[in-house]
Amino acid sequence: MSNADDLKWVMQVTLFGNKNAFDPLVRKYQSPIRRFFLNLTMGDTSLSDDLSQETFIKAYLQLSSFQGLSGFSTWLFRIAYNVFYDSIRAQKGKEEVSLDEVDRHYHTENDYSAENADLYAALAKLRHEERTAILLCYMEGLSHTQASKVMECPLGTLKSYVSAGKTKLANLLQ
Amino acid sequence: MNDRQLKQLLKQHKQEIRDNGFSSKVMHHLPDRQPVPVLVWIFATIGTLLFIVISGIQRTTDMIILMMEKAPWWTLPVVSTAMVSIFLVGFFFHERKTSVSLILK
Repeated sequence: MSNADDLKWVMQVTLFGNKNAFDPLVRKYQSPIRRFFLNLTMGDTSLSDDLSQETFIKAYLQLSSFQGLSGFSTWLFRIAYNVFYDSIRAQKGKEEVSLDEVDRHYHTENDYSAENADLYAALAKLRHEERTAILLCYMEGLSHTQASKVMECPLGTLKSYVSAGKTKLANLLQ
Repeated sequence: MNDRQLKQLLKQHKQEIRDNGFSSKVMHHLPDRQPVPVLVWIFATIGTLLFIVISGIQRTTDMIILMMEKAPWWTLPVVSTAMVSIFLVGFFFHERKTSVSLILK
C-alpha cells in the first residue's frame, strides 16, 4: 500500500466519515508503531499496546489536520512520540520528569525483553533523544529529515543525536 | 563495532509484530466521527451545477484571454514568477515552521 493509498483512506475517513476506511491504515502501521513503543518501553508489551491504541485513536480524531505534506507514517510517528512522552508526564504529574527514572520505570521483563535483553540494556543507557533518534532512523527506517520532523528538532540536532547514540551503542554492544 | 555492523545488529532485532487482533480492538474502540455536514455537500453541488450552467469554464477562459490581450507584455512572466515565488516561500515556511501539521493538545 503506497502513500497515495494512505491518502485515499484518509480522505475516505475525513470527507465521507467512513470509519471502516481507517482499518487498512491500522493494519498497515500497527507493527512499526507497536515495535517503536516496545523498544521505547524496553519490551513492555502490554504498555506498548495501550500506547499504540491511544496513538491510533488520537490519529483518527486528528485526521483532518493531516495535510499530506509529510508522509502518513511520519505524521503517525509524531503522534506516537507525543503519546509516549505525554504518558510519562501524566504519570509524574507536574514534577519535572527525569527520563532516567522513566527508563527504570519501564524496564520490565517479558518475552520480548528476554529476546532482546542486550539491546534493551544498551538502549536504556542512551539519552532519550538519542534512543528515539536511533530507533526512528535505524529500526524504523525513517530518513534524518523525517525523524527530525517527528522529534520536532532541527536536522543538525537530530544528526548529532544519531551520531552520539551510534557511538555509545557501538561501545555498549561490543 | 563499526557503523555497518551496528546497522546489521539493529536490523536483526527488528521484529514484525503480528496483529493478533490488535487492529480489530483499535477499530472497536474508535469513537464516531462527525461526517462532513450535508449542507456543505448541497452547496458544493449547487455551486458546481451553476458553474456548468453559466458556462463557467468558457467564461473564465475568455476572461483570462481578454486580460492577457489588454495587459502589457511583461504581465505574464511577472505574475507567474510572483505566484511561484509566493507558493515556494509559503511551502518552505510551512515545512520549516510546522514540520508535521498536528495539534495534539
